[in-house]
Formats: sequence, C-alpha cells, structure tokens
Amino acid sequence: MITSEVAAHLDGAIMIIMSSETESDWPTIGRGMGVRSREPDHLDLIFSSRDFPQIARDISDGCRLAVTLSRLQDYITYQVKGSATLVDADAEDTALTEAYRAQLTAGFEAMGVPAQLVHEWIGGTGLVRAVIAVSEVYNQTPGPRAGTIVARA
Amino acid sequence: MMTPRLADLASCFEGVIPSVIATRAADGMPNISYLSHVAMVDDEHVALSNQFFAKTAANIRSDPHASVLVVCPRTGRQYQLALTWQRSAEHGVLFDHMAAHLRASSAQIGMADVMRLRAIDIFRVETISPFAAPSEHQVPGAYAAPTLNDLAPALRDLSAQTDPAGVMDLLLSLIRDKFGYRYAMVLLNEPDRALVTAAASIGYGQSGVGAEVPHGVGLIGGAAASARSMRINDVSRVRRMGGAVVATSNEDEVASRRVALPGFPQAMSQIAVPMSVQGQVRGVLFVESPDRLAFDNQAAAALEMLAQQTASALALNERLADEADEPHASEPPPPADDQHIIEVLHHPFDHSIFVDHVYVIKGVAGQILMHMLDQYRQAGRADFSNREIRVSMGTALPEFKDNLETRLLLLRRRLDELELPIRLHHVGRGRLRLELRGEVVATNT
Repeated sequence: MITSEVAAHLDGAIMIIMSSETESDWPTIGRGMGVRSREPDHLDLIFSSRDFPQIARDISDGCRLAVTLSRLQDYITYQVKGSATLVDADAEDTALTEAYRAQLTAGFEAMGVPAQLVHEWIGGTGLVRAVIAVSEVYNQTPGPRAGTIVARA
Repeated sequence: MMTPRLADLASCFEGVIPSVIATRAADGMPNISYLSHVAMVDDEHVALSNQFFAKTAANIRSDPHASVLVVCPRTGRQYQLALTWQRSAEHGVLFDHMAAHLRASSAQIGMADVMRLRAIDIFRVETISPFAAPSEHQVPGAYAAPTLNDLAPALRDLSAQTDPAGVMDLLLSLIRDKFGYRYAMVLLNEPDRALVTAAASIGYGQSGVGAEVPHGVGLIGGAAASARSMRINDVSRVRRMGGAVVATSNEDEVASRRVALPGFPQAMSQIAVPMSVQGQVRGVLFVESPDRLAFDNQAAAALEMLAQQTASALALNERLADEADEPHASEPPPPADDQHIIEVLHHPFDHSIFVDHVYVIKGVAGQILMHMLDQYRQAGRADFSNREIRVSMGTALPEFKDNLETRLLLLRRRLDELELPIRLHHVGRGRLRLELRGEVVATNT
C-alpha cells in the first residue's frame, strides 16, 4: 500500500491534513503533527485530540480517515485512505511530532513565512495516534494526474 | 467571542496560505484536498475554483455539505467554514472574473494554459468557526496600509499637474515616498494595437520605457483588458503550484506559452491597477513588493484611487493640450559646429523607426516622428502643437484621433531613454519643440 515512493515522501517537509468519516452535518478538517509508516499497509498519524476532538471521537467509533500529505517545496501530494483506530501517543510519537514541527517550521521559514504563524497550525496538546489500515492511495498533485490511484488493497 | 463575518476574513482569501476543502462521497468516505482559489462572492457566499480534483466535484453533487479551512496570513489564525453547495458555473460575470485572474496570475509565471479554469462552484456559507489557536500574532513588519490622510494630499498634487509626464512621475514618486513601494511602473494604453506600453518606472535597473504587454497577458495585460485590478499576494505559491502542474503536464504545451515575468524577480506580491476614466482604460499602474500580502484590500483601494486620479489628470491634459495656442514660428536652432549625420531609417510597412541603427518606436508614434522630421527639413519648423499635428495627420490616420498626448509622451520618453541626437521637448501645454543634434539623412525602405 505505502509504496517506496510514498514512504520517501513521508520523510520530507509535508503538510498533513485529514478528514474523518463522521455523523456530523459537515465534514471534519484537522491537521496532523507527524506521520510514519512502520509497515507497508499501515500509516501512523499523530494529532492533537484537544484541537480536533470530533475527529478523535470518530476514530474511536471506528471511522474511515482520509489523510492528504503535500510536500511544501513543490506541492507533490498523496492522499491515503483507510479505516483507523486510536491509541494514546507514546514517547516515540512525541519525538516524531517535535521533529516534524522543527522540519516544517524550517521549511516555511525558508520560504519567508514566520515561525509563529506555522506554530498556530501545528501546535496542540493531548497527542494521540491514529493507526490507519491503508486501503487506497491516490496521487493528488495539482495537474492532469490528480486523482489517479497509486495503490489499492 | 463574536462570530466572524465573511468580510472579516478578506485576507484569508488572498491565496497566501493554501485553503483546504473536505467533502464526502455518497458512502461517507471523506476526501480532503488543497484548493487553489477561494473567492468571496458576497456576505453569504464563496466561490471555489478546483481545476484538477474531480473527486471533490463528484462528492458535492451527492452530498452538498463541504467544509473549508482558511488561514489568515497575518495572524496564522484558522477558520472553518461550513458550506452548502449551490451550483456550478462555467460562464458568467463571476466565472469570467475568476478565470481572468487565474489566467493572468498563471501567465505571470509562464503557465497560462495549464492552469485554465474550467468551472467554479458556488457555496452558501452556513457558519464560520475559529479553530482553537494558542495565541494571536501579527506578522513582524506587516505592511501598514495608507490612510486617508496620506491619500488626500497625494490626490490633490496629482490633479495640479499640467504635463502628462509630470503626472506619471509624480504618481510613481508618491507610491515610493508616501506608500513605501519601491518597484512600480506606468504603462499607457494603445487600444488600436491592443497593448499597453511602459512609459515610466521606478526601482528597476532599466526604465523599460517602450516595453509592450499585449492585452490579456499576465496581470498587466489582464488589468488592461478587463478594466479590473488584478493581484497576487504570494507569487512563490503561484509558482510552486504551477511548477507541480507543469511537472505532470506535456512540456511542449507549456514551453510554447511562456511569458517572461516582468521586472523584479524577487517580487512576492504584485498588483496591476487599471487607470480608467469614463469607462476607458488609459493605462495600467503596476506595483511590486518583495513582501507577502503587500496589497490587501485597503492598499488596493488606495492604489485604485491614485490610478483613477492619474487617469483623470491624463485625460484632462489631453483635452487641454488640444486647446493650446498655435506655436509661434521660431527659427530652427543653428547646426552644431561638429556636424553629425543622423541616419533615420523608416520602414513604411509598420512605420518602425531606427535612428543611427537603434530601434526607436513604431506605429502611429513612428509616423508622427517622420512627419515632424519632414516638416523640419522642408519648412524649417521645429515647433509643433498637438492641434496642428492632429489636423495634419488626422485625415490619413483614422485611428489617430485618440491618445495623441500618450503617443507623444512615449515618443519623447523613448528618445530620451536612448539618448539619441533627436529629442522632443515639452515647451508648454500642447506644444513641443524638436531638437536635432546633427543633420538628418532619412531613408524609406
């Protein structure tokens, strides 16, 4: 599922946005604070349950999650979808979010965006980890190939 | 906390920080992507352009509820908009405006056709909710928009100018000294040639006088063709987004449509403001800044006021110049001791003029210069009036009736810019004096 190309993409400075399958009237939107793939068919996503409580509740109810990962420097983008489960973040997850914040802040600063603005989007407490059983991966880079399937379970 | 209104979020729609849209398929599967443009339609509606993402378009037709996340580029504060899809539009005033802006901003970086807008989706805004944010910041060094106290004397000074060159030079110095923008140019409209021509500039290494931008090309050409202001408040984002599209497109298609970015390569913000009076575009004011979000709504409004006042002053000068007295006959200046031969080459097929092998100008302005040189050589005349030129040349050139002052000004500026031995001097309202620093030998080819 997570191809080598997508796995390499996870290591770059990427913006992470997510939306959960939900009973709410309107779709949810949240921001992630770090991703990793330990196994080819799973994606770990760390986010703040305080900032995005509805998404945390939806995942606890066994929802499907869509996560879009867009590289800062060139907008190369993938969208990963699949069913998710929720666990508390551990020390390794916390270290991952700290590295992520530093990497993304540096990336934005290189483009002239002040660090304090970036921290507004990727701060937050009550870290949790969504473990996504990846069922679909799409190319979502703006352009004629946007929406094409990269991998499917 | 008060619920924000859509108008309070104006800076979020400047395209500096990418917006996000989430939708759902009929089976509930979410979809989330970045958006290229969100535009405020009115107090209750927004329009989204989503050129590439068919899934989003399909989802809103089965479930019209969508959420959009926008970010204030000044504070970083985020807002979630709960939207209900109303309709799509592939034409109409709003579509045309968004398409023209997208085309112009894409052309500005040489990617006009790959970013072509196909449709827009119009949504009703149901609620606006601020995201949790730990603090509120202002971007350090954020641009301070000009106040009415800045504008009033600037407008007064512009209206006092009696010479078109003075109007444009004053406009540019006001923009630099009072408004803090260091890179700007004024381009004058030539409707019969469907282009605008640079007549004055500040901040650039070269003045660029005589440079032409066709109507409809880039921000400048877009503003001239549509008579509406066009701006980009994060050029680098447009460039990165465009780069991603190009990387996944047919390269030949892109290369053949490349348009060079004018002027200032480090520009982060650019704005092109039409200078219009009584429905006619007389030119375009183009301003650039190395800062992001340099042209918010307030700054754009101030520049539009300056541009309108400039257009009015130019139009009034044009009219008054025609009413000026005939020039008194004067003796041509004596030839210089060190007699220089000035070689003038005229190509009648496009009326292009070369002086001492240097290209000067073409079209109607070229014909005017040849007319003056002929009068000088045949009748010894060095002084001319707008009225006389119009009468002498108007019959032969039906398209000549408009913009005489503009054409004369461009001709004067071009001769000065190139430091040629032929010059035109403004010697009073509607009056010009031809100065030749040598003997003209003209050839028609």
